[in-house]
Formats: sequence, C-alpha cells, structure tokens
Amino acid sequence: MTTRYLWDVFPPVLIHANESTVKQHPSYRAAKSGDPDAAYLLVNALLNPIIVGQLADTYARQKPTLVSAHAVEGAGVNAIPEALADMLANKLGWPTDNGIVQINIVSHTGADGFSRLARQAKFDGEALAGKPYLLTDDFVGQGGTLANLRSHIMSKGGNVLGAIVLTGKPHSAKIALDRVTLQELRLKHGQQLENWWDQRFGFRFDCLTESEARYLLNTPDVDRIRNQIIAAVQG
Amino acid sequence: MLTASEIKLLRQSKVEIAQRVRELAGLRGGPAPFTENAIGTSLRRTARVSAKGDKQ
Repeated sequence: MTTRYLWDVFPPVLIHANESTVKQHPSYRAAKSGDPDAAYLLVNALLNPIIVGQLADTYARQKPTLVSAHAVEGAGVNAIPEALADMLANKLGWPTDNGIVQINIVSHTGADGFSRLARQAKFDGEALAGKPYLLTDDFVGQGGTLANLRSHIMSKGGNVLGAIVLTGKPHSAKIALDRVTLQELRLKHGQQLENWWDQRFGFRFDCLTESEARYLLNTPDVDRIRNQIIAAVQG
Repeated sequence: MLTASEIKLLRQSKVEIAQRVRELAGLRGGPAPFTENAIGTSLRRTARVSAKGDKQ
C-alpha cells in the first residue's frame, strides 16, 4: 500500500534537457548503472542554466533541501538523480538529503503505463518537519515516483515545494492532478473502480498524478484497467 | 522490497555518489570514495534477483 497526499499547489516539474539528448549522451548508460563520474559528466553537460537561474530566483529565501529519488534499478544504482541534486546544491548553495532512498525495485525504465501504475515506488528515511524540500529524479513519465517521494516527505511533516528532473516529455511536467481530469475520470470509470483502486493501492483517484489519471481516462473500460494492473503485478 | 542490509548499502551509495560528484564539481579534493565494485555489484545482483519478485 502507498500513502499519497492530495495535490494542492504544486508547480510543473522543471525539465533540464530533452529525452533524446540525455539518452544519446555517451555517459548516460554508465550513469544510470551507478557510475558517479559518468553521472557528473552527464548532468554537468546537460544542466540548463536558465532553470538553475529560475530555481535561484524562486527559492533563494527558503534554501530548500534537494532530495533525490535514489533507487536500485535493473542495471544497478541509478546515480543520476543524486548527481542532479548535488550539482544543483553546488551551484545554488543549498543542502542535500543523505538518508531518503527508494526501498523497492519497480523496474519502471522502459515499462508500459500499467506496469508503472501497478508497481509503486516506496521510500524510507527521515525528513525534517516544517523544512522545505525540492525533489530530483532523472526522468518524469507518469510522475508516480515523484508523487510517492513527495508523499513520503509530507508524511514526515516536510514541505515539498517542487520537483526537478534531468529529462522527460514536456506534457509530463504537470503532475498535479487537474480538477477537470479527476471529474472526467470519475464520470467515465465510476465509484466501483475507484474503490478497487483504493483497496489495492491505498489512495483514491484524487491523489493520482495528471498523467496517471489521463492514462486511465484513455483506457476504454474498467475491466481492461483491472486486468492490465493485475497482469502487470503478476508480471 | 530490499532487505535492511541492502537499504543500508543504498544509503551508503547515496552519500558516496554525493561526495564524488562534489569532488568533481570542485568543492573539495581527495580520492574517489565510491566503492562501485563493492556496493554496485551487490546492488546489481539484488536488482536482478528482485526485478521479477518485487511486484506488489
């Protein structure tokens, strides 16, 4: 089961570089499998100075702690989220977290939407109540990992101000669920599916990300959603 | 789910990646502390074993 918090005001995820540029970079594979030198080279090459300036302008007063979605993936430890946090911390003079990690392996890289929905990332580690945080990850797709990291920090009393990723599709930047999307989803798939979802995942549709909700909204019927989720879990 | 010892290794790798990246970014000198062979190999093995069995 996953704890998710409702979306209030959460800004669009800041994306540093386009996906093909990141994935074609000579250091990408090594960085994704745990090489810190490769991660440094990748992030150093692709950090967008306009976004760094935007962060400095927006959050200078709060000096938020940068916390990475640090996780084991198929090829090993993904070094990119942490390298992104450290490079931003270096440039902005902000602190970084060193204790929060993802405690399961979700195999999201290259997976389809149902597999991403079915295998929710879980986090462990302390956060300071009342302190501001900014999340970092290498990629935003459906935004579920960032939503779960945000919720983990909020469960400890932390205040999550936003999220920054190295890459992702521009339409994935908006992760806070739109009220209209939620209404459309509930109208289309109904209370029964939402109850099933709540029992299975531990949160209702109003805690989905915008992309997760749209994915379900674009699925023709309830049976297909249930069957695909169950199939993805059984893998 | 990762075991307690795997989570400990993962936290250690987070700290060590941070140290190495900051060294490379010129914040401080010293040798590269990231023991990729010890930590990376162990967690890669975990990834392979858990990838199919860690479904919810």
